[in-house]
Parts: sequence; structure tokens; C-alpha cells
Amino acid sequence: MSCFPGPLVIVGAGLAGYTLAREFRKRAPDQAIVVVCADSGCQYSKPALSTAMAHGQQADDLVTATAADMADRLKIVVRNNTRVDAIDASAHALCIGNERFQYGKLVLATGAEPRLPVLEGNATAQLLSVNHLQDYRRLRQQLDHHVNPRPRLVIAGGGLVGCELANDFAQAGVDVDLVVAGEQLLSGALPAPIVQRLQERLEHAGVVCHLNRQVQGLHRHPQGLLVGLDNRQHLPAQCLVAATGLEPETRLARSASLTLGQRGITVDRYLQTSDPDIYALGDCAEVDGHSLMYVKPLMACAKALAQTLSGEPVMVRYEAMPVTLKTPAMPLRMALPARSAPGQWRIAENSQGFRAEYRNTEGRLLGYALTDGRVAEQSELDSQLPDFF
Amino acid sequence: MKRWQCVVCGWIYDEAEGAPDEGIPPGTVWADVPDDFLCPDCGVGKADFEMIEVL
Repeated sequence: MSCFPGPLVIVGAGLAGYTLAREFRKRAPDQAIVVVCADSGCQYSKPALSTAMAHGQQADDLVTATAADMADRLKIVVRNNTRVDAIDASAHALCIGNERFQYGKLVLATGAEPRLPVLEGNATAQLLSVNHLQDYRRLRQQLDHHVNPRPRLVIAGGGLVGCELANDFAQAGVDVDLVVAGEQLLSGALPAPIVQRLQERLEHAGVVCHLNRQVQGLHRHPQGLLVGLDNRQHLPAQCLVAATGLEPETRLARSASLTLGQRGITVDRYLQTSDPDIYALGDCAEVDGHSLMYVKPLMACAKALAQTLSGEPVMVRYEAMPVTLKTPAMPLRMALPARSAPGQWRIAENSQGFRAEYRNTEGRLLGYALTDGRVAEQSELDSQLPDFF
Repeated sequence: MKRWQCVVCGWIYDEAEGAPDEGIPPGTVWADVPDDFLCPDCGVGKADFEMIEVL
């Protein structure tokens, strides 16, 4: 018994695509589900890329299932290594070369691509990123095969991913330079004493932090590469990794003239795009104006969308979503207030660590940050946070 | 007592500690944690947890 005529077709085999397939399969045991993906369709944990060194894992160790495994387990068809050229929305079809592949309902789960700095030099093609297992594999190959005892890695970007990677590689004995465009780590989203303590701990772990700096060039060098900064300083290194943000993938959405938001494909709380038979979720989607590239909102969307597609429309609900920074040098858990919420940070420190609270004028808790031993205080604070929507 | 790790986000379930904030008392072995348990950090389901070595 099908929930609607035709197959459910999902473009993208990341966490969003496969979780949606899994959740929909629970509700629709017999309906055809086809996942189409440009990559190999291997299942892996993207968050685990930031701690793989510390856990002694290579890229292949992070693969938990192949596309064939997923097809088997979920009773779906996975068309991997297949790039979709465009959507013909009026024909309800995907254009794959000369093929017109019909869908009943279409879900875009194409994720986001790394935003890369524009560089000058003769080695710009060597710039790496770490948003995908394939990129990570390349990074590890470049570092692991290095002949010198201590390879050197330059990371551009002092946000969540940049700080986690810096810690992970420094712990593994790699010399790390972290180049940060702003005055502080984590884009100044947290009170200064906390990000300054994080910086001190990272430096103690062997990370050299360059604040108010940007990478400008990448050049060949006898021992590998030479990274040029915007102050004319040059850092010899084996690799340069960009962790400078993510851009939602909207190429296919544009081919169908779907409405796009500031950051991603515009969807409502039913995850529906401007086309009634096309939905989107995960890093590529802007849900009711929010672009939250984390696991928790993705999971909430996958479950809600599966229910909606099975004939019981339900609006996704975003609970508060605290984030734990995976930096062993300084355990840090934070819930950031919505950008538009006026309020103030109050920060306290004891022998156990920092506790910072962001409250509005009525004293309502809208955000927090906890470090070191005080991370345990999260349970008391989590219960006070409002839902996103 | 064993420790389990969420393969998606790395959250650790320690059987000796339980997860009192999620209503799981200390000493609850993984098999006895309800099937509808969700990872408190990322929301994935129990089926997605994998066992890691006891440290």
C-alpha cells in the first residue's frame, strides 16, 4: 500500500537522506524508496571526522555501511555515483544524462559544500577541506605519508570545526597553525574569557593561533607547501585545510526554480519547498528561516518529514539544541541564543570552570556556556531553555 | 559495566553512571535501556549506538 503514487526519491545519501529513508520505511513498508547520490553512498558519521585521529581511525574505519548494505537493510534502491543534472518539476522527473527518472515525491538532502578561501599561488589546487569522508581521506593521506617526524598542518578557520580539528591533530603530534579571521575563536559567539581560555588550552596543546589573519596564498615548497598569510608571513606546511564555513547546496533547487532563502532551500515547517511535491532537509535546507547545520535538527526534520510523507502531516519542532565542542583541551558545552534575541551574558568562574548564562530582560534563559567540570551543570540549564520553534 | 558510544556524535553511555537526566538510573545495562531512547546530544535512536571498548 503506497502513501502516494510513484517512488519516494531522495537525492543525497548523507545522514539526512538515509535517516529519512529509514524513518519513512518504518511507516511505509512496501513503498519504493530510491536514494540517488553523486558519491559512493557509504554511511559514516560526519561529526566523527573531528575526533578520528584521537581514536586512531582512518577514513575507512569511519564507514559503518556501504551503499549495498544500506540498500539491503532498509529495502531501498541506492543509485550511487550518480549525479543528477537537473529537476524537471512539471514532469516530476530527475534529469540524469538522457534519462528521465520519475518520482512520486522528491526530497533534496544534498547537504552543504565547504566555503573555500580564494587563494593565489601555484599550489591552490592542493587546498583541502574536511566536510566529507572523501576530503578527509585525502587529508590523512597527505599527512600520514609525510617523511619528516612532525608534519605541519595549517587550518584556516577558528569556528567549531577548525578548533576541533586543531585539537585532534595537535594531540596526535602534528604541528598545527590555526588561522582565524576574527579577534577570537568561535566567531566571538561566546564571552571573551571563555574563548580566551580555549585559546590558551589549545596553545598549550601545541596549536599556534594566528588571530586577525587570513590565508592568502598557497605555494609549492621543497618540503611540501608554503601558506601565505595576509601579513606577508609564510608558514611551511604539509597541508592547508579550509574550515571556513559551509554553503548549502542549491544547484538542483535552482534548476527547478524553487524558492531559496538566505542560507539554503526555503522550506516551511512541513519541510515542503515552493513545489508541493518537493521537500528538503538537512544542511541544504532553510527551515522556517533557520539554517542549523547540526545533527539534532536534522533528526527532528527526518522524523517529521517521514510522518508527513506517510500521510500524517506534522510540523517539525526544534527543541533547544546545545552543542558540545569536541575539544579535549577544554570541554565546552554551549547553547547559543537565536541571533535576534536581545539579552546579556553573565559569566562566573569557580575552581571547576566557567558558567555563562545569556538571559533576556525578563531574566529568561536563552543561552549558556559551560566549561571543564561544570559541563555537568547542563541538565539544570537545558530544562530552562526555550524551543527554537 | 560497559560503555557505549553514539556512532553519530560521540556521546557516551556509561552503564555504571546511567543517564539520570534521561530517566535511566545508574547501573542500567544497555540492553535494558528502552528501545525508544534517543541520544541526548543528537537525537539518534538506540539502534545507532555501537559498543566501544571498556577503558
